[in-house]
Amino acid sequence: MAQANFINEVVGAKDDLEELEEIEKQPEKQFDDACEVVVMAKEEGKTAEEIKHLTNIKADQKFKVCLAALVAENASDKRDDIMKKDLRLQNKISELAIIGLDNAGKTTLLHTLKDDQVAQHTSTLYPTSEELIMGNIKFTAFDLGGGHAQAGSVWKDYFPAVDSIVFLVDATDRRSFAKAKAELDSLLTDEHIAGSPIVIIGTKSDLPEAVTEEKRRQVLDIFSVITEGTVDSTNVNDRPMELFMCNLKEQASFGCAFRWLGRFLKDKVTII
Amino acid sequence: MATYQEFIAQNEERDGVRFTWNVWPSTRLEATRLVVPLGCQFTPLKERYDLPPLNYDPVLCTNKTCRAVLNPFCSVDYRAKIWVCNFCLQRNNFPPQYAGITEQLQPAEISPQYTTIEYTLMRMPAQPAIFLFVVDTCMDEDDMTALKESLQMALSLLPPDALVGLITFGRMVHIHELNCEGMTRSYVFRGTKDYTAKQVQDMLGLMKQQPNQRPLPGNPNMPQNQPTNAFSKFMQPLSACDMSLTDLLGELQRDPWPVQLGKRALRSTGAALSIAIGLLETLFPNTGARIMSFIAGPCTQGPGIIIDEELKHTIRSHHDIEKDNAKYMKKAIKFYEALANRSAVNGHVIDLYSSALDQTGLHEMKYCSNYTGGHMVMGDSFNTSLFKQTFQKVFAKDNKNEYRMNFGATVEVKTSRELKVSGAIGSCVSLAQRASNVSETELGMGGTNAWKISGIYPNSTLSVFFEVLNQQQASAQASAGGQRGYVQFITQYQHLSGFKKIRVTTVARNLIDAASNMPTIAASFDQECASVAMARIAVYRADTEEGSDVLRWLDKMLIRLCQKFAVYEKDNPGSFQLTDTFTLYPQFMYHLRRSQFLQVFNNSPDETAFYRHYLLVEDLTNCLVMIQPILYAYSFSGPPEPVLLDSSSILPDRILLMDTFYHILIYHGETIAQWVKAGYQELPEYENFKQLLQAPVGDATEILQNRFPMPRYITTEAGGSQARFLLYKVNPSQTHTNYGWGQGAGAPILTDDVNLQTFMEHLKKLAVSSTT
Repeated sequence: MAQANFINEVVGAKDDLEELEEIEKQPEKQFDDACEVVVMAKEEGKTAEEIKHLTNIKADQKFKVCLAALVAENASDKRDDIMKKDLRLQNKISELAIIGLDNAGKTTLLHTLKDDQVAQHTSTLYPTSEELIMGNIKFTAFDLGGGHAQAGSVWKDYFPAVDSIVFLVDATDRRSFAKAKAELDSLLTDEHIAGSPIVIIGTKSDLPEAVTEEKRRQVLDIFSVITEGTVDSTNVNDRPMELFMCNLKEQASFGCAFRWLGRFLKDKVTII
Repeated sequence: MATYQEFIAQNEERDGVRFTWNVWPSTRLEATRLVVPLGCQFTPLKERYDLPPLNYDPVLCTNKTCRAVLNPFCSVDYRAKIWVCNFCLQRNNFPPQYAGITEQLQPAEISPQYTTIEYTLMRMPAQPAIFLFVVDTCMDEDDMTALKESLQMALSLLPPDALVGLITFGRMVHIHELNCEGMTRSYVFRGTKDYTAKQVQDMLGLMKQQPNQRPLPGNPNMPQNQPTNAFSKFMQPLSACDMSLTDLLGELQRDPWPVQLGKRALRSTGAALSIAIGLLETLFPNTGARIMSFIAGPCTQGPGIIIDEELKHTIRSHHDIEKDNAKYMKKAIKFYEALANRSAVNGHVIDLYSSALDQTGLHEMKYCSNYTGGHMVMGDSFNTSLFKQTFQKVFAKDNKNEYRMNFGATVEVKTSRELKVSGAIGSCVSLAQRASNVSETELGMGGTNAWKISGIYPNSTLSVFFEVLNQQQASAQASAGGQRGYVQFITQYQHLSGFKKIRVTTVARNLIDAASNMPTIAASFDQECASVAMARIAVYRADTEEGSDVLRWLDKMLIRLCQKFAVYEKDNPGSFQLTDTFTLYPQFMYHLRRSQFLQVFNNSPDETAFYRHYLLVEDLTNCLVMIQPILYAYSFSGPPEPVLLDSSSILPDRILLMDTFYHILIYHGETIAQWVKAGYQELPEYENFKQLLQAPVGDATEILQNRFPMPRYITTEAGGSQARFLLYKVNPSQTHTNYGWGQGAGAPILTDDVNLQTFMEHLKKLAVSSTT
């Protein structure tokens, strides 16, 4: 929907510009005509008064040309604004599921990315969604909550609706690693998201009790499945997957993760 | 002279009424300048065990436009047997049966302690209560089994003469016959079609006729005259169909239609509710009845569709609603709102028991319970103690062994001529009764002086708002201190025993010239009542006015209130001081701004609807808890005590108990948690530690007993993932940015949110500023 709206808006802006250019041409032509008339008048040896009158007309036309140019410029500025504000020249749109165990930091991540403000949240009991803009990608992010024992069964309902997965793991909560691994394994075998890129983010990496990246890779056993470039989406094991260690103090670290993800998203909108 | 606090408490205890202002200004202009509107929180059926049983009709004022009820504020001429109505000043003769009254022998309704009194109308025929179960069958086996058990249990808790019926739905809607022995038979409707009441009536072969009346108690042979009417095959007295209905429920199967991969189950919630309402409005118009609907997912087809069956399409979030990207929402809201109105007009209640891990469409369906006084329950699964206990509580009885649910209440408000009624906010619908005391300016559901509350409980509370009228000779009287305004609430309702009852509450407050007596009015401010009133107005506006910026409005009102009532020098924030009756108000507003009532991030629309529902229903005390949760601390350094809802209250050697109304949380501080891990509570020499651990559990149990719906009960400890329930509620006076240089106590919260201290500083600055 949002994508269609955007295209409409951009196309609309383009139409406006074309129309304006047409309008612009009109006074330009009139101005040229006026110039010609003045030159012809001089050649024909018309009286000074007549020439003055024609020159006035010429100046008038010139003014109109400037005015039309201004209007056109204004319109193109507006078009640029639309593109900047609404999508910052994005050319990718993604439906993204943010999942992870209870207290992994899903909601905090979503809120930080959305409002650029850290806040204390409570458990997410029911899935929610927000719109995010990261670099040149616009995401609809579903925060699927991890508060329930059976949260995994809700995630599955959302897989047909998403094309990429962000899987958060609390790097400080060693007790949950095994469970996280099990959830990740079940993700990898779900056919609705076969071939979809998965970003695994180890959150809270700034805390002293956080495990290192190496350890994390070992635990989740993802060395073997990381691929880059093109993906054969028929094989669920052959998909882009990468691990990033992130924390809120260095928000850029999340940016890296999302940029990496962006590489695997299909271009959905082409900018005119 | 009692303090205002005592006065307020006494009035609440006796009449279930609390006003935002307890002395009223005598002019309209002064009243509007009070910022917080003049209004009250009124609990019509507040539990009272000391009311005398009056088994006769109330005496009404003979003035046709007044019809107020005789009350203790009426002046009585015992010799002439005449009473003067305090609302319209009409002189009325007492009816003949009052011939014997004297100053010594007063009827209860005019004795001063009975400003609230209840009449039971014996002449009215008693009506059996009616319960219609509407059950979703698209759920997994465990849920289905648990729900069936809960329903069978419900049968044992209902009064035996209650009429019961059963509708089940999935892809189709089934209305079950209850009078066939040994076999099950049902009428099947398509779930994709919206049936009108007339169509339902025709298809089921129902005739419009009077429901069977129940014999009065005292006649022990109740079930003698079995109803044999056409409708009786769908709605049977429980005593007659108990066995067969129990069997029928036991044999209920999950919806047999297969659900394809990547799709949702086809669920006809809208059609089922529409048929249920059509059935009841044909058979039992204007009779107390309850539709109990059990929902395990969103309606995916037909009328009231919330989301289609494709899992590719996700159910709307707040973000989608904001972007106007919720395809089915507006139409669904219109559909359910219309159903709710039809139901409410007939005094029928609709309960929504929703149990699922994702949203089920409460956001669209909320009108069903909001307009009818129905319950809204939101859980994860029917197979949880949360649901089972909540559902059991629906049939709870009070200490007089009477059901707490009542039906078909109308609340009518009479006012003396100084006041007009501007509206009400609560779980009700307007009866559009345009009486002479109805104000032109509306606040909440206005344009009427009477509202219908189809399902009413001892806690049900209505906010009623008033407009003050200018009085011609007011100033002379007011300065003499003699002028009083009166409000009378007449609540008629159907008790579950079947009898019609009328509760009458009459209250009086002084009117005063505000220009010269502002401190008196300021001293009469009830900040708790005002906080709840403002919270309800804010939520009402958020629900009814699209795109209104409620937060800004709340801020503006708070600043204006402080400008008017605080003591300060212009442009000197340091001089700002609030008088006693206002000190807590900004804090309530601070927590209200942060609450899930107004902040929707991390909440689904369904949750928002659920939370708001109870703010519109519950009594003042409970509403306050919802706005600003209560925190108690337990430690070895003294007896349990209430502490500030602040991060500085989170100490290592404390156990905290937090009550948010929706959640009860017990939190062990770091040291306590370590002791527990070390198992000290098992050792005989640490008996006192064991007791300390148990103290909050005991208090929590007590809260749980009296709470509807059952709150989520959470036990956690420092650093635990569930501790977030506590951390996001407390005022973050210590955060990750300011924590560390020596203030020591408390737990820093990882947040950039504004804390109360900063909020107050800004408030002071804005209030004293000469430019705002």
